[in-house]
Amino acid sequence: MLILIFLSALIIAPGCSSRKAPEGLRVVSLSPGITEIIYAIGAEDALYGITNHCNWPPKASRAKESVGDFSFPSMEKIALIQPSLILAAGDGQRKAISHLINAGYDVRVFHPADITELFAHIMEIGRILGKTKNAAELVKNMKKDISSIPKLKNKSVFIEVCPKPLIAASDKTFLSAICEKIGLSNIAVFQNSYPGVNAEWLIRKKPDYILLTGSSEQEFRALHPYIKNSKIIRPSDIDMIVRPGPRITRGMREIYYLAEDAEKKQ
Amino acid sequence: MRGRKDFLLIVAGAAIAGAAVFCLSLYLGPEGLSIPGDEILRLRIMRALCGAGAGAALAAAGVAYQTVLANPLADPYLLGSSSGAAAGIAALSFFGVSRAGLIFPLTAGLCSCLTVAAVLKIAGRSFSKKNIILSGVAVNLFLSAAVIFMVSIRKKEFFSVMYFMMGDLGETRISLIAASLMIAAAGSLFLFAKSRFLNALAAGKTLSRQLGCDWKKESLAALAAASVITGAAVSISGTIGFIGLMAPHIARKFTGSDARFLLPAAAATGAILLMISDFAAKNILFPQEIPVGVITAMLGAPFFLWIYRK
Amino acid sequence: MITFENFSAGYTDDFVIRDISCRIEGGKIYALIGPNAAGKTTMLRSIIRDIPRAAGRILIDGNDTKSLSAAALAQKVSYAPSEINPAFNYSVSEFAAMGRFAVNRAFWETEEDIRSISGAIRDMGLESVADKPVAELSSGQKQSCLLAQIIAKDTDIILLDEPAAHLDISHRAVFFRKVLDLKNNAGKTFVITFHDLNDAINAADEFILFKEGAIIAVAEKNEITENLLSALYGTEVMISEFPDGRKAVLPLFSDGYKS
Repeated sequence: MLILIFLSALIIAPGCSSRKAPEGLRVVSLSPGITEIIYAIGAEDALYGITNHCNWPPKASRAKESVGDFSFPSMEKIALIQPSLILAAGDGQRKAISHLINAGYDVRVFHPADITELFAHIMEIGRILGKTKNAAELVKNMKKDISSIPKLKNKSVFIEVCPKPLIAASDKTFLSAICEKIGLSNIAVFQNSYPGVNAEWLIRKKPDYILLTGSSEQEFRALHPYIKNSKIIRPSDIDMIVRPGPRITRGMREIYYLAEDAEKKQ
Repeated sequence: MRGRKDFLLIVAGAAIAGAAVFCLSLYLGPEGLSIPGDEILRLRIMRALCGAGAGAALAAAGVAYQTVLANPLADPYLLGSSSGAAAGIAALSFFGVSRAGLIFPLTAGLCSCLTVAAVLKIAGRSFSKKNIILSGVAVNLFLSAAVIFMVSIRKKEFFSVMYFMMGDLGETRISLIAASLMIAAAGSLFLFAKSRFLNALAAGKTLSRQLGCDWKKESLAALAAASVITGAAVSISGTIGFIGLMAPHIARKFTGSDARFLLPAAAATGAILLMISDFAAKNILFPQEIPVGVITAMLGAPFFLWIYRK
Repeated sequence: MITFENFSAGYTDDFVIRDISCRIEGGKIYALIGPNAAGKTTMLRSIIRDIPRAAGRILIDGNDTKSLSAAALAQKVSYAPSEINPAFNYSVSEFAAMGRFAVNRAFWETEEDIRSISGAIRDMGLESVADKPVAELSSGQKQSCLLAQIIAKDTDIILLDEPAAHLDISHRAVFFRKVLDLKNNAGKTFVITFHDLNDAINAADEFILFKEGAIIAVAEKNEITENLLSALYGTEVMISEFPDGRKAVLPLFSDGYKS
């Protein structure tokens, strides 16, 4: 199936010689975080394609065409858009990216490991899209925002991605890095980013917090009635904490306050 | 010839071995033997219950499938019965029914019955060994595709369903476990009560008829019971392959083929096999978990080939 | 005891046997003979309802087989196929024990069941292999196993489908000795399909001649003539009788026999 898509992309690709279109850049964003960045730096005019998951800002999904799923975007749709540049997130879409590169597209992958890298990526995207000033402004504001967020002291966290089977976001993820930034150290130290883990281990590790991103508190408690020693925090908008984008500072602030509130409830 | 005395011996042996492994799985962890804390103990009890229950249920279903079809290769997984149950459960999740109580094991059992009926229909009247396994595999692939299709529409369940398809004993909801275990136990008791009918069915269609066994009625009843049991097992453990294939063959080495002795022995063997497999799945890469179906398949697929070549 | 009334059977419109009528009396050995694929096995399996009925009736002791329960039918008739290949390691005694299932369906065998099972195993000379899996036995022993199961069942009517097809000459002798013994001393009725006419002519009392799904003649042992058999099989055969009363049926392998 994938081979078929790949072959058809190859056949269609030669028709895309207008890659350096006279009207300028034609960008496809394969990442909701990047879409948010593009809007935040006011470069959305160059944006011609987004994914089904790009729901912020709300007007994006109305104004831009979708090329389909995050992990399995439609190669045909992308070929029809004839992008001069594809911006991708990397994790979870490596296969699609390698197909696109093989088809001759200019693909840039932005996979920040932490906030510092995210800032660098915002600057880079600003430079590519000719909005250096706006990007610098955005980064400055975000830095200011972050410096105003208080830090927790010596607290540990388990970041849940899926409740059953229990899957964690390990210390190799961006999500883990932003938690570290506000003083939450991740107990899941693994080689891979999203390992399936044992509930016994979680009970024994007794992290101060369990940060839910894949279930509601009610769902999680129903599935794991024996996990009692950790305080559960669940942000109102998961997108804000999992997307390396401009809203990450709000997400970090929310995690901090949720953690503080949970502490007070004790 | 064996009698009541041997039966008591076999049942006692099976019960002691099963109970020993059950207890061991409660106190044996990644750091060796120890008395775990309250929460961890409860978690391990749930897990051992699921493992023992699902293992015993799959083994009992395996005995029934193998005996009725007179086919040593039959197994709830290879027959498509497990996949049918899993597809039923995936469909319920797809339509937003929450996983609790009787509705899950019963739906799974019904879907499993329908799947086995379809597989046997496709395999044709002759019930040839290879035809049945081949059509089981084809139906299996179709149902897995159907499940992935449903998952593709609703992204949220992706991990859960993918793990479910590879076996997952992390179930902790007591209502679901209790309902499933009760259904599995009822089905297994039914099969056990029909032991001598199973023996007659194992002799094949024509011989079973001359033995006074209404072949059509009795084999349908046994296949339906086995499928309902499979559905109950799948609803607490996901699709776990090869336990239903291995356990009856191992138990036969000890008890022979008479279903009166084989069923309890195979059930204990299945329970032990699955508890041990789950222990491995939990602890090989601790604290990272491997789906238990991966372990059983690594043991079971070579076993299948060995039986096939015999 | 068994009466076929205008009986036809088969899976589709292409019936394997059509419109047969005959009576099988108690205490005799009936030989079903005829060319391959004439419908002999189908006739036997129809009696135990292993082949769907298309028309007509089969009566056993005056009762239509259709109206009998599976268990009641099994208590009247036994059937042994020409070959068995058990799928699992059922032992000889377990296999023989299955026969008692037709008599007593309780979860455990009674003392009487166990007595008749061990009696049947002894009768068939299978004591030494009683705990061996049936699948590991020779063809001759497998036939003995089937007969042991049937002896344990203890039905009046016994249907055997080419029982001697895979037996060597000594096993054949032992087997038919047992059959004749069961007829003479226990009053059993046998209906046996024969491949080998020598066995048939020396063992059977009555002959049912089958061709293309129909009965063309029913004859007593001494009514069997060379002409009848030649017509049935479409080839010339010779019957010769030895001074001790045994008979041989011989086909002509060439035209060069001295006359």
